[in-house]
Amino acid sequence: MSSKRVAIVEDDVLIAYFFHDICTSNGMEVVGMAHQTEGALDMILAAKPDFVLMDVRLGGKRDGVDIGMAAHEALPGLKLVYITGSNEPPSLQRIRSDNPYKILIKPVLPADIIEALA
Amino acid sequence: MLISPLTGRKSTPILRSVAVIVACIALADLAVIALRLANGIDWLVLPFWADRLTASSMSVATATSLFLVSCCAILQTFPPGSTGRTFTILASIGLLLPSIAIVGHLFDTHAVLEVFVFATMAIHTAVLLVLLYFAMMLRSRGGWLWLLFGDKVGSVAARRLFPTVVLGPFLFCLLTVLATDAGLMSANFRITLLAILTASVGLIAIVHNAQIENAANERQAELLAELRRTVADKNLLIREIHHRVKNNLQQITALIAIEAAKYRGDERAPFDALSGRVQALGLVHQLLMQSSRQSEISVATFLTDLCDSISRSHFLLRRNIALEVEVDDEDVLLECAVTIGLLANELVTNSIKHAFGEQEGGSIRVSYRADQNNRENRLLVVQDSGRGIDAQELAKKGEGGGMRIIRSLVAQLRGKMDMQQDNGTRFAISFPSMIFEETRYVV
Repeated sequence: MSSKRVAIVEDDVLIAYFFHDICTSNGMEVVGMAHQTEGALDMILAAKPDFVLMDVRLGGKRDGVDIGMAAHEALPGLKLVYITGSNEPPSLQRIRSDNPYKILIKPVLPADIIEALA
Repeated sequence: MLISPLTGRKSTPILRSVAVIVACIALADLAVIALRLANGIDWLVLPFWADRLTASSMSVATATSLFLVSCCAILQTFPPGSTGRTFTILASIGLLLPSIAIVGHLFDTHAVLEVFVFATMAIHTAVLLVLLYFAMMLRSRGGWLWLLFGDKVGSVAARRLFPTVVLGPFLFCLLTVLATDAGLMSANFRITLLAILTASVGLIAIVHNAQIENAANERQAELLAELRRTVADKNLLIREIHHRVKNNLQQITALIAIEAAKYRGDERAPFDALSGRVQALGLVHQLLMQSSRQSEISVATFLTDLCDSISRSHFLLRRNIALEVEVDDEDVLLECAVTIGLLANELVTNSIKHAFGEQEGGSIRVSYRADQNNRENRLLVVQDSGRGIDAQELAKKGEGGGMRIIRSLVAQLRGKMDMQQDNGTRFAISFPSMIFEETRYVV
């Protein structure tokens, strides 16, 4: 079985590389990273990953849920794992509207990500 | 002379006695008038001077007004809360009687003296009584007379309306009296004008009052809307800050992980412990954002979520270690929750690290409840079924950083820690619940 292919959308580059390291050191392949809304959707559509680790707040008008919805439309089988710092009910409601695979609340530990991508 | 607004003074009994004497004299006078005793009240007291006494009695109005003023003086010696309303009513009636006499004398002295109640009441008596009532009403703070002196909207409006409502009718009536005397109008037409004037003044007062109340109402609504906006802004800001805090904590976790990537095995353990501590801090903020009150969280939810997080990051399921949580729930402040959380995190990870061998498995129990030995205290217990701490090894290696953190967290809670070894290790920390109140920041 080939390794799991993961794309990462996270505006904080340091945190993005943290997620990157967790994935690669646990036998997964990171096939793309984006740090802003621009280009994030193109990256996902080009890389066609199994999983996307998606930050919700990315700065700018559109957020991770907008990108996730667009990506889901083009790739229905895509498993979206949302990682967000805002766990108030309205934010979670909005994320749930995109049928996410998992929702993780920041700060997340390596074990949380490994479990989510299991 | 009769007046003291303060209660509990030494002079109070004297004041009451004097007031009672005045009230008795006034009542006796009224009785003399009612029984039509021609010689008057002085004769009752000093009958042997009958030939020297010429005056008969006070007027009914004077006696009644004096009786009421003495009642008011007695009422003022009691706390205003229970007697304030009675005082206001009695003083208002008492003030009304001499006022009628004064105005009556100004308009037509004969007309006043023809009325039985006011017959024989001299102008100076009436003026003195009015002054006496004013003095008494001004001495006890509150009451309607004080409304005229306030600086709030209602008092300002009352002062503005005062000339129109009180002096206006008086001057108008004086003019009509003069006009009637000069033969310019009949007495009945005078009444017509008076009726119209009274109605007009009342109407003006009502309309003016309505304007003021409407304006105040609008202003209040504006302020309320502004307040709501401010609160909404504040809430947004607080959520934003919690969000930032969590992002920063995530960055710290990332930094630790990047540093940790250089190491393998046991050398890596301190980094994982550090990540766990940061995670415990993050959890408090996570729960705060969900909490309806933005400075308190439920201990039960917090400890359960914390242990859940510890369990996942240490793969306890795979290692066959059960982690149970038992909590008597209560809401605690952010500050205390952080300390309790870090302490529980430290003790539980300690047990995970030291209590069990590679393939052993076992159980760890975390409990939080009122201390049975001291109901004012809370008791946090972390108990494992492991092999216990080897005292010799502990003495040899010394206390690790974990133990130092535990001791400072216990001190932070102003608590006492007790350790027992009996089929495992049991750490019990008892701390006073009053620190929940003392650490509350007062804004």
